[in-house]
Amino acid sequence: MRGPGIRAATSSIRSRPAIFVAGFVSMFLGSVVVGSFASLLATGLDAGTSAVDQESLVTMASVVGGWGLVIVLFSVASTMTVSVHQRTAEIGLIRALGAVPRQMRRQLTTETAVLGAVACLLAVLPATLLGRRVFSLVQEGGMVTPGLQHVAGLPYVLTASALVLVVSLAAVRVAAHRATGQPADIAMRAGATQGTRVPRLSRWRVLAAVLAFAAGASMSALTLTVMRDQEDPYASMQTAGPAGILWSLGFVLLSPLLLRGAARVLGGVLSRFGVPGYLASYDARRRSHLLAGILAPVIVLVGMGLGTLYLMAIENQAPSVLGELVTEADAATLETLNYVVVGMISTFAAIMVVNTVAALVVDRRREFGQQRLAGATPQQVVATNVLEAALVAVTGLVVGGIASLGTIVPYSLVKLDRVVPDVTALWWVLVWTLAVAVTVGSSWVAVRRAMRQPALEAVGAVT
Amino acid sequence: MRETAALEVHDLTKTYGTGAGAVRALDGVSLVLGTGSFTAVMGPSGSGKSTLLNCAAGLERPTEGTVAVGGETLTAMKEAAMTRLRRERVGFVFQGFHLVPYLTAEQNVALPLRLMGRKIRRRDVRAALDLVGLAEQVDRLPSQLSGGQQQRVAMARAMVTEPALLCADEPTGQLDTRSAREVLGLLRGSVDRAGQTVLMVTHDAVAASYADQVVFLVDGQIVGRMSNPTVGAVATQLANLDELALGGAR
Repeated sequence: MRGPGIRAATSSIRSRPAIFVAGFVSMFLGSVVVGSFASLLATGLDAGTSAVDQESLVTMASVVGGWGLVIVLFSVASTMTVSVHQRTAEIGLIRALGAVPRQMRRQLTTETAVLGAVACLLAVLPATLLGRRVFSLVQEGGMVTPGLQHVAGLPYVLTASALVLVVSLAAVRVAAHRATGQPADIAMRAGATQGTRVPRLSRWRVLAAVLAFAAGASMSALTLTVMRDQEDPYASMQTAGPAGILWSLGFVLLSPLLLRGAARVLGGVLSRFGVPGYLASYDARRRSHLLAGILAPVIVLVGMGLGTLYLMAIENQAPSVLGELVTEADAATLETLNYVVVGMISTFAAIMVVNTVAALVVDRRREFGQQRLAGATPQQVVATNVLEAALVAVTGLVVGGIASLGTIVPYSLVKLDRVVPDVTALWWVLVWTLAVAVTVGSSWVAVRRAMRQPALEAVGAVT
Repeated sequence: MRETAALEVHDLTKTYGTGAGAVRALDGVSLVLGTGSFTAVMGPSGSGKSTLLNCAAGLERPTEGTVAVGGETLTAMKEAAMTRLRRERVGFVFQGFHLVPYLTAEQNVALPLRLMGRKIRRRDVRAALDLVGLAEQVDRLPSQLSGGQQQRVAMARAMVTEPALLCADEPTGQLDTRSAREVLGLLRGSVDRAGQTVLMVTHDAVAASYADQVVFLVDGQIVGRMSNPTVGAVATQLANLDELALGGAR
């Protein structure tokens, strides 16, 4: 059976662009980040590039870009899930009008495909420019031959974009399956009461988390054992970095569970904040699956940020590795590159936090209206949301911090012979402040804006 | 009985939009409800019934005129102050229930008290739920309740603060006949037993027959009143109202 075609999809997007913004932004930025590394890879594989340069560039692009890819794909998938959830009621309505689940899924995927194609194409130019910037940083560091030219590598950049698109479509399909797998009227009612059912974490998700933790643990262990004895002084860095990322991903997969736990543990603290604290703690417990969309990028931001920054801090304090194998220029390049990667990924994660917060607030306008009709003042609604955001932020700080230890502790043991490195605490302060500011700040701004809409209008009683 | 009227609406006007496209939803409506009375507001679609109710409850601001609930003037208050007064003095039951989705029945009922900063006495909350026949369902979330049950939770929530005025906007509009009858019986009961003042908007002649008086609204103006309404009398009057509305348009 055929579903609504491309024309239906484009008119759906044109008529209410707001609900597509989050998905668009995540696919666009994801393509830019991944595409920039793809262009680095293209330069490395270019016919004119010498074998030495080729090895440096390909290693860099695939190791660093590869991890960037994992993080980007994860964030995009989680945003796409939120954006489908936003439309539960609409999906129920169209189902009630007679669309079979397959037609509905088809419409959702067609919309994503149209939107994604535009986002990914628009990302090509910025991705190439960002790739060139990273390349010139690498070149300034002397890691590749000075004369080597950057290649835009259109096919590679496009492939990267296509990958982002494919993963987005897969995420939408999974979310759409969940949204259409029930009778139409239930879907519509779930939309009306905004899905209070807390979905159980799927077995696949738990399994994936266990795998991520296992991989993270083995990376941490490898850092301490095999890699320690390697001749290459940077060998242990190659496993220590990914260790923290894998730990972060494991936590990301379990984020709804972590949020429920945090709400329970911090319930006492929240209850000190009166009614807003009371509402925040119940919302976080009973609808952790929604707020978890914000927690995921916060964990990535904190875990990845702290891990990499302290990797460099430890490296700088360790006995010099300069010698036959490593020149001063190599060390400088490596440092620059690490900072560039931290900068790129944390910027991306920070934007994803804002993106998800904004999408979720749009999703919840009706519910804010309901709270106000029950007698909550706008200030009480805003306070509730700020507390929820703070709960998410604190959970992210703790969990991300723990994940980063998967990188920091083994590397510190290898390089400095101590469990806790005696290095500056400044990065902790910086990353934590940034994460809290982004999460709480964006939530505060978005909910305050939502309060401008009259409560009756927000619940759809008047149009 | 108290001296002050539960609701006093004076010369209420509400205009939506400006210029040529402006719509006058209410056009000089005045209404006084004595404490312990049950009034139904009826009229064709677009006659301004819901606007009247929303203005009376402090959910919407009138363009002109005054609204006083229990002797306290609502109009000319700021949003936060109006919310505070509203949650103390007005209970509201909506067609669409509007329960907070992540709170249980009991927590939903206690919410207005919590928001007001009052001490929550579990006994009172349970009693309110017991009164609407939901003593067994206190721990259910709204999504686990039927429409009729959700509406009864909403009624318990609206009445737990002992408001001066209980507003109901098509409270039976989304319910089956049996649930509708239960909800209407509960409204009537609150008037008879506790001296609650109720203002209800409805399309349904059967629902209106539960009230002490019916006020008929056409094009934002009160065009008729009926005391001790019966289903038949209300239905007949409604048919005439339609003609009146058409006559006005011509």
